[in-house]
Amino acid sequence: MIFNSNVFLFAFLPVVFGLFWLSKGKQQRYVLLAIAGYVFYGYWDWRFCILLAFSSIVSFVTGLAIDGTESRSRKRAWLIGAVSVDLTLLGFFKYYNFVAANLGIALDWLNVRAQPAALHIVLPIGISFYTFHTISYVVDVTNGRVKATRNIAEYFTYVSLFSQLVAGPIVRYRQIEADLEQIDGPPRSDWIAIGIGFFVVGLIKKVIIADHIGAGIDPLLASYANGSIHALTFGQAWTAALGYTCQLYFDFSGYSDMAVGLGYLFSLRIPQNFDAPYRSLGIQDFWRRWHISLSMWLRDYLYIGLGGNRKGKRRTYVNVMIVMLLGGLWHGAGWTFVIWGGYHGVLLIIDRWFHPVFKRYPPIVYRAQTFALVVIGWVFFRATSLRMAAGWLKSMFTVGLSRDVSLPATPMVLGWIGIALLAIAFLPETWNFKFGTTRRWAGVYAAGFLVAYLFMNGTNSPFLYYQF
Amino acid sequence: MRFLWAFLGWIGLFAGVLVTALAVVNPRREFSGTRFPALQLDTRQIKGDLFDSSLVHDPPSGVIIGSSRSMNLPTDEFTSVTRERFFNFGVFNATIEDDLAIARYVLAKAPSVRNLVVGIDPQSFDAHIGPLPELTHNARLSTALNGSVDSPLKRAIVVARAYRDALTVSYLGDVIKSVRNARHPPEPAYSFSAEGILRYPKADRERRDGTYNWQQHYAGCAAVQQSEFATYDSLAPSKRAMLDSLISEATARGVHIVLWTPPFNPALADSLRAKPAIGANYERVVSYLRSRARPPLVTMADEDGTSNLPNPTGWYDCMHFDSTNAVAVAHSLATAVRDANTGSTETVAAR
Repeated sequence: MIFNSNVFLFAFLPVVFGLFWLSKGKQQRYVLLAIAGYVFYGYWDWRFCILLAFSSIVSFVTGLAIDGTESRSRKRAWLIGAVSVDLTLLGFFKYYNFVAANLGIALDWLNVRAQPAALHIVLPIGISFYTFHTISYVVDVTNGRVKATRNIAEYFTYVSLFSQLVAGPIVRYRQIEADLEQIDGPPRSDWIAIGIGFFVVGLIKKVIIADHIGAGIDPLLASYANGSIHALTFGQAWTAALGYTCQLYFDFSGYSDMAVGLGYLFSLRIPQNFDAPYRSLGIQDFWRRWHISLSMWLRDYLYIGLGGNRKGKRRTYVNVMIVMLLGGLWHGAGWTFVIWGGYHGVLLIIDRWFHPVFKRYPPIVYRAQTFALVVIGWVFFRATSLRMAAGWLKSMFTVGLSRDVSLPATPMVLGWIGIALLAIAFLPETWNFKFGTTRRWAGVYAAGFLVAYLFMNGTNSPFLYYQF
Repeated sequence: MRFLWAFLGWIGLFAGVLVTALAVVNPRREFSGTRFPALQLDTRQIKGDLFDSSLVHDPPSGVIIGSSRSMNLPTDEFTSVTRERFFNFGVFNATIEDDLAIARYVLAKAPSVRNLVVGIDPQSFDAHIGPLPELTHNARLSTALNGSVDSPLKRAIVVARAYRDALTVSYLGDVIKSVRNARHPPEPAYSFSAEGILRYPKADRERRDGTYNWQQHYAGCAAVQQSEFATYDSLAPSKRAMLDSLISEATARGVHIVLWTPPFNPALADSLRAKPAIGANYERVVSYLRSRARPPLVTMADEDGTSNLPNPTGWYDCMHFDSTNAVAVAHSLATAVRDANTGSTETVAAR
């Protein structure tokens, strides 16, 4: 089920919302939200629910076990056990085919006849996200940052919360614990208004801007499916790169806004995931503003765990590279994602190194430099193969050789990209909107919703981050 | 919750205004409004209304089913050959689903029908071509297609679905265009007789004036046909099953069926046949239709006879013949109907 679908907007959401506010007491609401999460998730394939339930039970039981022991070594053993289970599931379902294919190539190169078995594994949607939810929970319980909940319904609500189950934001239990504890409170009119406001803005970002840009650039990039290296002219290659830059931002930040809005409708405050990332001053700043919940997760649970910047400059850079390579791989089982992560790792190191120089630049220059570097990085992120990434980049940087600078045949996409870039440059991030909460604003939100619906109706466009 | 109620109230108000605008302007002729000019004709609705009217006075005993390529077949030619009254129920962009739905509808509504002339476009068996909204939004035909009994509730559901699907930017664009056209109504491109025969008043006038842009019409039509054939490589079993259902249900009631494939303009036919894959697929369709023939109840009209039309320039584009050629095609098909009714095997033997 996707947020921008009739079944979600006119069946699932009204029913769950109505039952939620009709139900009394925490337990009823936990159970309702947990069931709703499984219905939402099982709409793709009910078998995925088994995996989700298993992962939730393992981390819930582990939390209780860790909480129930004083022994540091036992806590550590439970933690390692639970994280191993989570990572094994993630590794098998997400990376088995990738590893097997590359192992096969390596064995072939070494003239070894044995080949790893190819399995037809279907990637359970959202597995990367809920695995990070459960890992953060057991780590936080182990470190005493959060007390393990004894209420399994509450925990299931946290893991399977439909607003952020499939594509984040990666909410930590401690970020949402207080709201979960007060979930039996009466509805707050201002939160309902803010929730609707966030949701409508997110829907507009997704169905009006992101989907129109996607419709313009996808046919350009589809030409690479034929294996053509020089499929794009200089102008088309840059249009596709800039277009994807805008599409990804409006798609993913639109999804995150909708998730935040849905959270408010159920009295749950979901943290910010974007903060005008394309206006960043430097790559370090970019990662403080782009997919914030992932950046913070990687920082707190991986980078700091590796030693962070406490063990000298060289080790800091090594840690940054490890985190970014794994962060790239987290997005998808493919070398393009690894290279994208590595590319950002190198940029982060350069940015740290030369920060005293860069910060003397006029902000507009530093911002433009950062933006250009991010745009180039998205080529790897969007490319479906290294061959495609190489061909696309070659087209972007060989104007002198090809002498063909022609733009896409349909100029409409340039208009949408222009609108998107203006919005990026001049409009505030959704979190900085002052959402009106008085009733006269209801008409504005209703008009926005209806306009978005006119664009959305009859289309079926999943969010880009659903694939991760 | 006051805010929520206010929000829902506004949504209801805006949606109500929009739906009213859609119903009143009705640019695609799906709803009730007729005050503003149509941008698209809903031929399923128009033909259904004309057919229902025809039942009141003089019910037809033969019905022509098919796409726009069957729609200008003159029913009086059928009458002069068979001495029976015919109705042309061809609709724009007909799919096999349309053929089955219309056959079921006419057989249920008119026990007098003894003959069906079914024009099958070769692409009808393409799995990628599904039923159009004009069919799924048409209460009388969609209920007939589903084999369910028509009821006010089902009609209400179909109408509600039609309004929901109309809430799109492109539909709203058509509303605006239609309102704009109301000030300067454009010359109508199509009209229909009481027997459902399609006429091309604008194109005919331009042809008389010598202003008809044949090249442009041909090129546009040929490009569409070539792209449709490019992705069409097999006859979908589900589509074949629908034609089989049509045949079995009609013949079970003793209805004679004449199957035929409407001809392409010779220039397009040559260009399609030049591509081996397309030519082979076309042949697959024709041989499949031949395999359905069970004379005298089901006959396959001579497709070569209808493609050698008397007027080489009598075409509007790459696949729509004009009224001069329509008479010749109708005569050929009417002869097949007469032979089927009299039990003659002449038409079948001619193949």
